Amino acid sequence: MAEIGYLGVIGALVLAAFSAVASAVGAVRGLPELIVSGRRALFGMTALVTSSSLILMYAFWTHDFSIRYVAETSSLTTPPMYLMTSLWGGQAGSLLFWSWLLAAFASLALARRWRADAALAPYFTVVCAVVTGFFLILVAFYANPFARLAVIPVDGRGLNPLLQHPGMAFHPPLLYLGLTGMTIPYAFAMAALASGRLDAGWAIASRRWTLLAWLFLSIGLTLGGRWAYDVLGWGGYWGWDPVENAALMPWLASTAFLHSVMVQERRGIFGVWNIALVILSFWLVIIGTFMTRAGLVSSVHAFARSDIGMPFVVFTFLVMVVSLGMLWWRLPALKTVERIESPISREAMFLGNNLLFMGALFAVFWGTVFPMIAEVVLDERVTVGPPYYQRLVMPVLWALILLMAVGPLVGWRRSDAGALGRSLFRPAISALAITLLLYALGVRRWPAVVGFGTCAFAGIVTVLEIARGVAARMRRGESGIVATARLFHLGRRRYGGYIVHLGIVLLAIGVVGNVYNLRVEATLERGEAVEIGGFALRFEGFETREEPDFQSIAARFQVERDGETIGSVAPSRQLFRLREDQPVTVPSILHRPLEDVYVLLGGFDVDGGRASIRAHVNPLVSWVWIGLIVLIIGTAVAAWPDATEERVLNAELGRLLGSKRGSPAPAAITRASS
Amino acid sequence: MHARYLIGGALLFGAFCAISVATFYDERSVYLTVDEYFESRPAVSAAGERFQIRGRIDDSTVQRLGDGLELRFDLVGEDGRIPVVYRGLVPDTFDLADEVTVGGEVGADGGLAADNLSVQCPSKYEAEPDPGLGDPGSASAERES
Repeated sequence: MAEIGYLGVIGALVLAAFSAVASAVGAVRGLPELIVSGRRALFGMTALVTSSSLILMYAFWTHDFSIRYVAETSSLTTPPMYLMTSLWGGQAGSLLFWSWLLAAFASLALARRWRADAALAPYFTVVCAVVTGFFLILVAFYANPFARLAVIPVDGRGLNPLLQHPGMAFHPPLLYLGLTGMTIPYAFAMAALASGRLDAGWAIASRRWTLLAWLFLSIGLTLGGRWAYDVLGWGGYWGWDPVENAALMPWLASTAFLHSVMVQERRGIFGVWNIALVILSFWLVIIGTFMTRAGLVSSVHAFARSDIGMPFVVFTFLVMVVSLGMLWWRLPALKTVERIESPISREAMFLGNNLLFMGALFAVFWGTVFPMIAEVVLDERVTVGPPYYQRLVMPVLWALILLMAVGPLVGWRRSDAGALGRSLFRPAISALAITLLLYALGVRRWPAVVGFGTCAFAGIVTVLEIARGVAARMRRGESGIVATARLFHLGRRRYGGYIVHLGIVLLAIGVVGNVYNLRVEATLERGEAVEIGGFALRFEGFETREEPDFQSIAARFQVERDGETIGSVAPSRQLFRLREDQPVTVPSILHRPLEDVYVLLGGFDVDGGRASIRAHVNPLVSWVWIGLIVLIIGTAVAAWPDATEERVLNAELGRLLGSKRGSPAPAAITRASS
Repeated sequence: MHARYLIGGALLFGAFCAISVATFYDERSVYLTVDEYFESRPAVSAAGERFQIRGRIDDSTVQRLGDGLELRFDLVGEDGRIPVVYRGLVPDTFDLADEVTVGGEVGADGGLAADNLSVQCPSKYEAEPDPGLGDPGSASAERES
């Protein structure tokens, strides 16, 4: 079976190469037959990668330990759910999984109905085939998940215990979906450069894909935070670790793009900038994958240990040179006559938004990448921790949230500053009142004062905007529910965007809560208690439990507040039989609306009845997860297919693409794809 | 008009980048081995500065004090040793480890007051390639191909 899986990978690689060459030649020479076969080759490639991935999953299911990868990342006692997630539990498999997602994304995007933008399709195919082909090369020649072992072990080593968590079943695939999904807008942008159809057509055509990828990336990032919080046990959900930053950077670039692309759609400006942002997002995905996959993150010395470093360096460099080269080549044609007319305009607001995102991106990039460069070039090992990022990113976050409140109220081209001031006056006063109230209640640390004040302002402005829309409809005689439903139905992009903004406000409130995090360490005997932030944790005793693949020792604590028991926590230690050198410390968390009580078991002495713990009280953490859910709902509203919008967009696409130079779409493509 | 926004934006962005780089130097923590630490000692104004130092644990010096949350040991290199006082939960794998990385500030006495102790290098997601899988008790069979 393993050999068939490997052959599938090789076959897919051959098809990817054929697809790229046939599509490129077909597009340049105007040969519809070649374009069609290039397209079919891409579908074929996807089918082969899919079957190879399924074969590997089957090997996990049947415990085929003759395959090295299966033996290294699973065992007979690995629970069935984690057998499937073992596919991405290690390097080789996750590269195959990555290729699979890339291929699937490319095929889905290619299978859509190409209309006026059909001229972009062959170039789109080339880019997708080349990118997928690169990952297939890694799978085929550098990290083969189908490699056999000379000696077949009776049992495997088991999946890394840290990865045996429900979060691990969802976090990697969602994050990968987000990261691979960024290839789609990139492929569209490159197709626009290659074909010379440089108007907003490519951005309009890829809008929903970009939004989808962005949504997956947002969920993936947050679930990763949740997994770190629930499993890694250092008490927080975001540690500014290079691996986290690697995924955050494309998120920052693509969020900037999602905003600035509206300027291009609406005003026809920012064309060069948008293509640059899409290139940047994709490049950051590749760089991030390189950093985390090639072992570059822990230390540059790991570089030599992983063979995929060199091909990645070459590919990263090629992506940069080719993309920027093409952008440079088309620069004269991308010049526009339209201008930003006033600093008080939606365009200028989006410009400010983009500047802030780029600032945050630079700070994160420098903190993450410079230490790696310094080690190679200067032979100097330096690192920066969370304080560096907090000092730089927090002010940017507050400025962004302010802009998020003000921006949507500002009109295109130019706005009246007086009118804007009047519409912001009442929300500003209310936010000030809320801040003063919080101050009176004891919220006095200035980062919290600034943070809560900004969030209150943005929240109020956004809610009022939605209320204003509903009220306007109600004046026309609609009931409240009908008015709200119609408002979101007809203006889903705008109002979906507002819901996303509200999600961000909730999330930011959760982040501000960090200012008041508490932490205590103590060793307790049975019956003793430790106090933290108004809670008392009383140690009740140990509970041991035997599971098929591990033994768990938990210390049970009663959580008391004002003398009353409000719940209990049982932080534990899991000793996996196959990985005894790697015990897992599992935190236990009591979630409350305003704070989490988070307890971790350190040393313990079961016979002596003593346990050492670290306890945290983390205010407002739940708000982060609630904010994410609101953000997902908002994005779904904004991206929901809309027949009217489709018609308008298609008419717009037709107008944009039909009226420009360039040959009309080859008839065969239009036929083959519709 | 457009150029004004471009130049203004570029200036603001440039200023922010400069602040980022300055903050980086302000917040950085130097990562050294015990021997590198002693070599660079004259050049580094040690007291009060943050370091991440990697070295071997001298097992004979390990003491757990108080409630078990204070750990003292000497971190040794080829020819130097640094006394370390670490407060906090001790990682599970400390007793099995030969090498650790400790992070903290160097005091006036030359000792390191550590608030951070990591046992493994953070390549935590995948084991080193292991040719035979080294699984004791696993019956081996030759693969037929």
